[in-house]
Amino acid sequence: MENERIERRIDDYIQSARGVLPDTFETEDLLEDVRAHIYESLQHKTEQRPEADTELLLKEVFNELGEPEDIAEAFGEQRIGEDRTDDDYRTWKILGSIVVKIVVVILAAWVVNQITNGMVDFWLAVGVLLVFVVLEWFLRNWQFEREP
Amino acid sequence: MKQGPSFEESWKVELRRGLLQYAVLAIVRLHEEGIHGYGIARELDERTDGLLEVKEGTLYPILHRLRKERLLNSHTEKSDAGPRRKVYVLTGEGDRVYRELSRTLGDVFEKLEALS
Repeated sequence: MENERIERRIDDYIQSARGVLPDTFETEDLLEDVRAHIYESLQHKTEQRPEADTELLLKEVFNELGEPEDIAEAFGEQRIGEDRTDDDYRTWKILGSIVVKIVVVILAAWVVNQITNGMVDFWLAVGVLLVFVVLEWFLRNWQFEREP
Repeated sequence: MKQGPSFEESWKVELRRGLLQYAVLAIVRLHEEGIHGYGIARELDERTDGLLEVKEGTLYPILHRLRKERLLNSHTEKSDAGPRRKVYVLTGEGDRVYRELSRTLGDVFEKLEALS
């Protein structure tokens, strides 16, 4: 009977934490860790003070664990750090794509210049293709922003 | 009327927050066979005399972040207490990062000491 009550209290805590954390697979993984932690901590306290009331010990466990909001705040802080890493990745991705586009434009302009036996000026072809690349860039960004 | 924590309190919170990732790496590094989350929380409290004033639940987002950054690996094991628990182990990259951070911290404290 007491075990059931203890388990219900633990479930309630986990449920509260779930409520303030994002609804993701990572959250579920984290909540499993927190649940294991609660049981470890409770067992440790029970071994140290076998005569103490389990409900009281569980309160101590929750107190040491912190409010679910504390966990959510720490979770948010760690996510902000990750986002910075993502920003670096995005910057490199954009730079890489610019380099690739320039190389393609130069190659395409050279091919056009060769095929037309120099009737189409190389630099004119580069200019026209660059205009198309920039237009395509703006169009893609515009489409991306309109996506729900 | 002043609201919220004082300047020095906020500063201490920020400092503790910054040092926590380092302290977690340091503790995991001491356990070649790995250590579970509750063990980390206990050691953190015992070895620092509670200096970092950590709410134990806040360790798990940090452990998950360190694992995502590939500084820690984890596997699960049975526990007498109840559900299976994760055991965290330092990776080679984690060891390199820890040593780098230790050097940086050493430099910072050395320079700060020279200021006082």
